[in-house]
Amino acid sequence: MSAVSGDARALTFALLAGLVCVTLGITFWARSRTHGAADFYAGGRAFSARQNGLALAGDFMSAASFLGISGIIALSGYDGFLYSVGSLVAWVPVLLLAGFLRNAGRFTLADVPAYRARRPEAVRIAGAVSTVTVSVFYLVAQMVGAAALVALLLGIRPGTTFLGMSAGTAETVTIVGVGGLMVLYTAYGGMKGTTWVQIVKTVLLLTAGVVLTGLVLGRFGFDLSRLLGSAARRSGHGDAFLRPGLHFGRDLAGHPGRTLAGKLDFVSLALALGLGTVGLPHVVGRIFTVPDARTARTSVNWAIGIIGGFFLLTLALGFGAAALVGRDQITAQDPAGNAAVPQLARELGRHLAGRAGGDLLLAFVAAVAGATILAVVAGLMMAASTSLAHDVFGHVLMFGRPRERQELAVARVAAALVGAVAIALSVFARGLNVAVLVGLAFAMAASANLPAVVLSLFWRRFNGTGAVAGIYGGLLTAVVLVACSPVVGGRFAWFPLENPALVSIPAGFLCAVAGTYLSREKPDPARFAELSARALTGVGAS
Amino acid sequence: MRATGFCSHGGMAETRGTRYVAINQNERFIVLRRRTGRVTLLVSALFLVWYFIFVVACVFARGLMGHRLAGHLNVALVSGLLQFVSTFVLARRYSRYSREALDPLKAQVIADAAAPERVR
Repeated sequence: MSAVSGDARALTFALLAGLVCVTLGITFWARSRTHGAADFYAGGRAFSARQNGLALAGDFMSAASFLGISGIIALSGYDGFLYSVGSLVAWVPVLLLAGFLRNAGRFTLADVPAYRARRPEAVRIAGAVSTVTVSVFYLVAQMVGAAALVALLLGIRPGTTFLGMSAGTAETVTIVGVGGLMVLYTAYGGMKGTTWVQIVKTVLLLTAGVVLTGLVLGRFGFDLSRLLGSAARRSGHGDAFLRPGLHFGRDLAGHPGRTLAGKLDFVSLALALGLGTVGLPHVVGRIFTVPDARTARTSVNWAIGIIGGFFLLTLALGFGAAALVGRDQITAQDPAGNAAVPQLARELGRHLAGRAGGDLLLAFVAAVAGATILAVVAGLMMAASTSLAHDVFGHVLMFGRPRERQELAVARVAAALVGAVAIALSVFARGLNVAVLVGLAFAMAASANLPAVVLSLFWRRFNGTGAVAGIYGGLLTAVVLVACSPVVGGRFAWFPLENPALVSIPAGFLCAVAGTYLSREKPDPARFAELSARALTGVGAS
Repeated sequence: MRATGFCSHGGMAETRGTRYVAINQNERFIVLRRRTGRVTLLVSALFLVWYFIFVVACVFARGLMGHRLAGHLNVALVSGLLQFVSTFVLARRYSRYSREALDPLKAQVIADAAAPERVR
């Protein structure tokens, strides 16, 4: 039986095309209202707390979390939920730093540590390097995931063709198409455009989640325990399905070393998830789109509420898929479980209104997943191009005195450049595991960006050399450890963990402290006075 | 100070610098800084410790996590949901403290900075 019927496929296409048209319309509208750097980079700093909260949540709720996390829950049960927990608690540090960042920075992460340096150019370059690296890793993860998903949602399996394309060709076409479209969104619509696209997508995603969850719970008489019991029974794992241990840190009898490594690997991933979010450039960039620190905090509170609610929905969706679709059908479609939610949608729709109902609900969920991918990719490109134009071009090449018009032109070119690099890398990286790539992006964000930002806000003795050492030290440690990990494999795979955060986050802090003490750069009390006065009161903030 | 031009480091650096030093010497600012530091540290510590206990329990205390509480609800599920609850509560409490205890102090510091002769 073909997994996706022709009707559902045509409907998915039509809905997706409609969504792309709507978002393109938004982009063109935003362009006509963008006049200058604050508009392009920060959406005019005029978004309300609720709007920015929706956009922040949207940046975070990627297709990887909607389909990926529910898929892991559907196959491995409780362990998939651990991704949700880590992703939500990560917003506590974001909330703590949001007000300070909004007051002290202007457009990018590097704005804050650059304040503490006597020669800020080096800090800006380091900040741009880490921003672009983290964003490109995250972009590749999203686009590789998008490619696999589109092939899956359109029902193209290895060996079959669609419009004359094999699965591999279709994936490449998807990557190039998604990437190209998003360069257009970013370069043309700027932060205003991407934020509105993100808001629309979040509302759609929440709607889909609430509708599906309502239908799932309805099937079990709104009895959570019955849903859990049914999921555990049909999963083939029994009670183990509801306990930690099926996916992360499995107990391997007779291999105490490997068992321990697996457990530490999970702790490392949990640390990366919990501390990485506040270092993600596209999340930090959003904090500058509101008028003041208080609105920034309120918008993070909105985001926490939305993301928390959404992850609770994915819990119900994952267990629902396990109970109603069943393990065999899920793995037959996709061994990683990424198709579990679309399959669940079809099953729920079919139960409700026959085959047509199944096709309709499947098409709706598939189109929403498509919109999710587009919006997240646009947000990431925005962050990378802002850093290249503002930090590297504006502050380093033009000594902090660029012509605004020039800098914005550079931002648009940079978006195209970042897009091209991400597309090229994604085509090569098609076989990589998306979840590992995302975990890695979080680990790099936490190791490279967190120490520089936290120490420049709170440590009187900190200086520019420390910031540069911390950024490069954390980033390099993370990259080197991954290159020597089982992810890459080969002869040099001496590092036992897949996720480097457990080592690389302390390494980032250590490098920052060592760089501060070892350099001859004297600490500058006046700069610390200025930064803390700005961060705490907002006096002089733009 | 909203419209200082596109370049952030203009010719006003000198006067701005002295103003920030004055803010740093304001007693109210010193209180604001101490309170902010204390609440930031407290919330960070609570979040880190509580999350870390949960993570470690997930891999090293599986017997405890699998203990059933009611129906199919076990300790693992309940403590995971408690992480959600604690995040909501922590976010709420921190925001309320910022709004009620820190923001008024901040407004006074800003007012003092606008009229420096009135300070002390």
